[in-house]
Amino acid sequence: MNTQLWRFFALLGCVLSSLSPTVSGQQADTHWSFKPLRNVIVPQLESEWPENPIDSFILQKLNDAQLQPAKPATAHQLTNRLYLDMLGILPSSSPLLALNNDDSSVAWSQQIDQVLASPYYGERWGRHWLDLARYADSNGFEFDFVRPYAWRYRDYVIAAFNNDMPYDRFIKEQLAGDELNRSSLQSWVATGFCRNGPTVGNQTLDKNRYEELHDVITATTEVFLGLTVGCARCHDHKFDPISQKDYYSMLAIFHTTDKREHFIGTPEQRRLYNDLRQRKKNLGEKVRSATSEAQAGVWTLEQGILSQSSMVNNTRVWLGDTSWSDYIFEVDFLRTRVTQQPFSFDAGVYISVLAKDYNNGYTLQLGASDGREHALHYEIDNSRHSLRPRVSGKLTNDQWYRLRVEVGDGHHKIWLNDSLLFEFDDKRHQSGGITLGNWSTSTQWRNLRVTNKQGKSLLDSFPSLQTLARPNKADGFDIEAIKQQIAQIDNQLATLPLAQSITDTSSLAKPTNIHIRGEYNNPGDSVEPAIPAAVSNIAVEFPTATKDAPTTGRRLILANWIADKDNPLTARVMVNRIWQFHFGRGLVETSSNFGLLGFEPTHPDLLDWLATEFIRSDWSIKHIHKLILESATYRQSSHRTDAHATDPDASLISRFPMRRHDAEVIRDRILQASGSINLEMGGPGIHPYIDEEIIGTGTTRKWPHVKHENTEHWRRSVYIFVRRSVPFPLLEGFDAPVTTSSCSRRITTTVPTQALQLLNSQFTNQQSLKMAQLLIRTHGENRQDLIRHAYGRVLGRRPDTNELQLSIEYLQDAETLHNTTAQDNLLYALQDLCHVLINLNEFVFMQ
Amino acid sequence: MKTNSINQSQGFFSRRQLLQTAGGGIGSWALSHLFNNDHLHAEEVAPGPLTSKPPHHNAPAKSVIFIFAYGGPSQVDMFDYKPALAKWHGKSIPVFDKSDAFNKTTKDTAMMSPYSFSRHGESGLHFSELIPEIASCADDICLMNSLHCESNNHAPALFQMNTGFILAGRPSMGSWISYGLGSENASLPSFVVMWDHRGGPIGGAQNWTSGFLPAAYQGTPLRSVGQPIIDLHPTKNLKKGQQELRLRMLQRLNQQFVDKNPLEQELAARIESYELAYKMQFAAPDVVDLSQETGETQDLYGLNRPISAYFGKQCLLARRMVEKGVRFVQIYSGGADQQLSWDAHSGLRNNLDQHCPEVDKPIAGLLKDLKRRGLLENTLVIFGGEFGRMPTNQGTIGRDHNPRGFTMMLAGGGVKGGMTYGATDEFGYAAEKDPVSINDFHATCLHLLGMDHEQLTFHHRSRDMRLTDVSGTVVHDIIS
Repeated sequence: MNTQLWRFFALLGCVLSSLSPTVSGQQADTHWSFKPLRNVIVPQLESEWPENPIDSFILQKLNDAQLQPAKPATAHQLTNRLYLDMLGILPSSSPLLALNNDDSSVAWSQQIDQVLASPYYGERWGRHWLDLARYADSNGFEFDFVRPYAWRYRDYVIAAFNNDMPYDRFIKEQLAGDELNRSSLQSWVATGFCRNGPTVGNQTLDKNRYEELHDVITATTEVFLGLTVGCARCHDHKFDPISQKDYYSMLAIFHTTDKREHFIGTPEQRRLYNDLRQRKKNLGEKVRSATSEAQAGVWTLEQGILSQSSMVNNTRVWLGDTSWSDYIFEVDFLRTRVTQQPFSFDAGVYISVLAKDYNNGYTLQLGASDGREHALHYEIDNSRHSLRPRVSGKLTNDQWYRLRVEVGDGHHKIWLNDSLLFEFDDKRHQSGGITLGNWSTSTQWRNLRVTNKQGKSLLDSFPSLQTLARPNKADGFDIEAIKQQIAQIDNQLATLPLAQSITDTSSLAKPTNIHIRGEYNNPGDSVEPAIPAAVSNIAVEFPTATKDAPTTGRRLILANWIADKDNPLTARVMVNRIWQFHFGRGLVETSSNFGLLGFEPTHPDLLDWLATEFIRSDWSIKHIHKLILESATYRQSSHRTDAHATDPDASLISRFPMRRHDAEVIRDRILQASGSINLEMGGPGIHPYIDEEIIGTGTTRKWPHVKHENTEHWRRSVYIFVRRSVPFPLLEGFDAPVTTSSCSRRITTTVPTQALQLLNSQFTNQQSLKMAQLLIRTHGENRQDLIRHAYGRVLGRRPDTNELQLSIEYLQDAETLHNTTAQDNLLYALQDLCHVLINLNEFVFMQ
Repeated sequence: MKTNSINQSQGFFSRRQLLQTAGGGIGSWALSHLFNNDHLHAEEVAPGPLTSKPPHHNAPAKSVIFIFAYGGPSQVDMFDYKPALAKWHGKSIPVFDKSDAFNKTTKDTAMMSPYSFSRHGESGLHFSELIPEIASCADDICLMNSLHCESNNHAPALFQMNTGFILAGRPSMGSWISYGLGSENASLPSFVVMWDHRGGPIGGAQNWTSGFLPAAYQGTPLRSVGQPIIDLHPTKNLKKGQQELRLRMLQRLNQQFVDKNPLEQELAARIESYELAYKMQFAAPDVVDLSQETGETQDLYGLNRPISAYFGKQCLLARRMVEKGVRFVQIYSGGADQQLSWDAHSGLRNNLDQHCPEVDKPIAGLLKDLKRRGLLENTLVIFGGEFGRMPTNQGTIGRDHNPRGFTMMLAGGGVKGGMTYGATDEFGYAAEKDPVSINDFHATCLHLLGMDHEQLTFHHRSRDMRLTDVSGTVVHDIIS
């Protein structure tokens, strides 16, 4: 395999298997990105083209490749590019929207200042950071619990970009905000970066913990340093000079942390918080009992025989009382499948004898799994004791079985389908009742009888099935109403001043070991906190924190090292990201991998020059934007000609690379063109309409039912609630990232399902109608005016004569087709035209 | 009906046609033109990325149905009969190498299969009692028992099985095949992916990405409940002809934009995606309409039993799709993780007792149905996972991942039936006789489809890229 190909791999991650030779230390010492920033000299070229040093660096490479820079883009293209690149929308006062744009009236530099001062800038560029920070509003995995305070991190990022927070401070706050400023809510909120990753479910607690630590180490090193340290979890890195010891030394820095919902607010807010929590708990209890009751409703009792009319989820029925002794119960059951989740006693079907709570008594699990392969598993007092002899054989799914249990005189017999499985003595449990239940919709019960030795049914003596099914029955109430109350409380809770944060549990650091082969329960040598040795020439020490210190102080030391101006990676990595989001690809294409497997920069001098500028400007991101936006490089036309044959992917920037807009820009621009957009900023995530069929997967409802969208749903896409298990379809369809790990660069796909979404979704049809209504309301019924303004709103330009003519004829045809009243004909025809325009290539591509 | 009214080989309308009439009034676009493509001559149709292309050599296979048992099915409990394991049960086996194992609790002691094996068909192939229905098709099946891959971890192994590389981002096999042969049906995606009802495989869309190939070759997820594809149907209040009118205007304006930017391939691809989307609206509901199948056929796929109904429906859909010219159908059995997939680290029996009955009847039904319709010869059916499982035990009764030796089951598409190819050692631990690498496997599949894996290339980053990278040898012995 050649080097080129190895480089390719690096785009997407690290190599886990043993495919290639380990890189020698020699190479690591000389790897470009680990060396200090160079003092580069701006090339002096005989050309009028350069506007600033960026252009000189770019032009030099173009000259080397015998290429010319492209002509400047047209004024409307440039303005569109600037707004959509920087803000993701056109400002409401946009000359383009108002359509009286005079191309020369606003100087370019003035336009740049405008976009950099706009609050919508933070929403657009903050979104890029949220991709990197794997931001989501829920935990992920099966239950996918909501993170009610996550949104504060999103808003923190947006504000940080808007305020041009110095990047070194941005780093420190996200890694160690709790250590930096303990009295600032924002500072705590920033540490949300460390826990944005998915939270692993259904594993042992220790294992979860190491997964979370792995997530934060991986994210920290990839995002801030462009290093793929994660590979070193199980073995020394195959390519980069990162040893397994380095990984665990890094882990030692985070090891003492824990998650905390940190409250910084007034005493009144605290009281409100406690009060809401209590109310929520009470209501939840009420729902639980009511739900159980409703499920009990599928039971019928006729002539002493109890049956289920259908399968229900998570039933538990308790029968009997202490007066029961010497009795026999029999029941038929059918199991459709072996359930495995979410509990470890995952038989799916259980019967507890003499136990209301299955803590005291014995439990028979039918067709138990978890490594125990027999029809019946016996568990006494909630501890596992398999009966001897074990029963061989297994249950067949979809088949009715008859179970019979004889309880009496301390001797118990268990029969299955009329054959005696086993008998045993158990003097402790000889009177009481039975609990039977199932954890999922996998089981059905029928023909349950309980009789005494004389054959008399004991179930007849129960007054009603309700009491039988649920001893502490709830009052009648409307469950849906209560669920809504709970949702309201959740909304209130989410706005209270709580930070979804991390902090150290103590100043005393937890000891850390290397884990052999990366296994959480296989500790090896102990390690001390340290930063990756080969990457840094800055000496870093981790002194032991004083006893009265609130934290170990280790994360702040790490953050200070990352944010040190002498760190060779930090500034390079960040200016490269800024470049990438402007041009679609970085000067280093592998923008989260500056290691030996990463690509080399196409313009190393430019990269170092920008990084130096970045530090010199006190880590001002807006300063870098300004340099780029002012360059002639940025203002080139995107028009690709045969002259570009030697720069097919525009890596030399011989033109502005044309590319499809991000998903959020497409949705936000539709909303803006239709006039629906609600530009309110910040706050808890919103839940626009999602098709019921999509929500309907999984065990619990994870997205509210929205009948009709309204203005509260028409906010910018960055505010859409990020539920890991229910990705928002329009955004997902247009390549919004999955949030399992940091995403440094989105993939762009073109598939027919995207066309279906823009053609057929309720959203695009509704918004094109609203646009048509707005146009007619504002501009009357003159077809030409309507067409001009439709073009202005959607494409930010005037139609040319050909387009105008086509559109006029199109409106005529469409009006004929609609064939209702003249007024409606125009409205619907105009809707058709607007719908066409928001589907156009020109609309979804940045030129 | 609907599919017949649309010319299968042409797009929504050809770009050439658009060019010829550009400048003419929209009125000249009578609605009838939309559906009546008879007047178009072949030379007028500009070839798109999915235009059917001739293979490199004549070959029977036209389509692939790849049933991906995600999680790693246990070859030693299903296909690869190893009586030695009974003899060695509980004893350390000499071939075990700790570094092959994924999990530390994996032991070096053999664990015999809890399932009995027997011979089936005239060929006498061994199958375990877990898959009696598949076993009844023994004489159509080739068991490739000597596969090996390069990672013992799910995601890299999945990526390798799908794309040839253990890292994400390379084009998947379905994309390469669509690229090489185009599609036989312009109204359906050429590459369709269906997931398990419990969730998709780890890595998600990276398993059916087109990588650096044009996006038109990407896999399209198809749901087997509800609307098969999100937003497939136009909103209800659209008038007859309204959508067509919109689309004609859209494509016309889009074409003008392409004409201004002829070198931007993505723009043309997006036009193509709209043509496909339009036709999918008619073709997709038709293909997923299982009421067109007889009760007998539905039963054949196990639709009458709860355990196999879901997967059986997907298999039946797969047959209907290849029948209509879809090039590559991939169905994932097993979703999410752990026991919900074929990943039997613990509770081996529970795992296999769950998953095998889900797929046994449907896969057998698929093979039988394809055969009686004369489609088996043209359809390569593959069943297997990203790796196999260890013949030793993990925990009490579980098996760890095994990249060193595992089985792929092949049938149809010109594959010899009733044979095994290659072998693992006496324990079923590592491929020993005639080992087959993933590159070899891919090369063989491409060969069966009439493609030379060394000629199927795409120029990217100054190099002619291949599905099989720089190696791969066709396993000619399995080809009839």
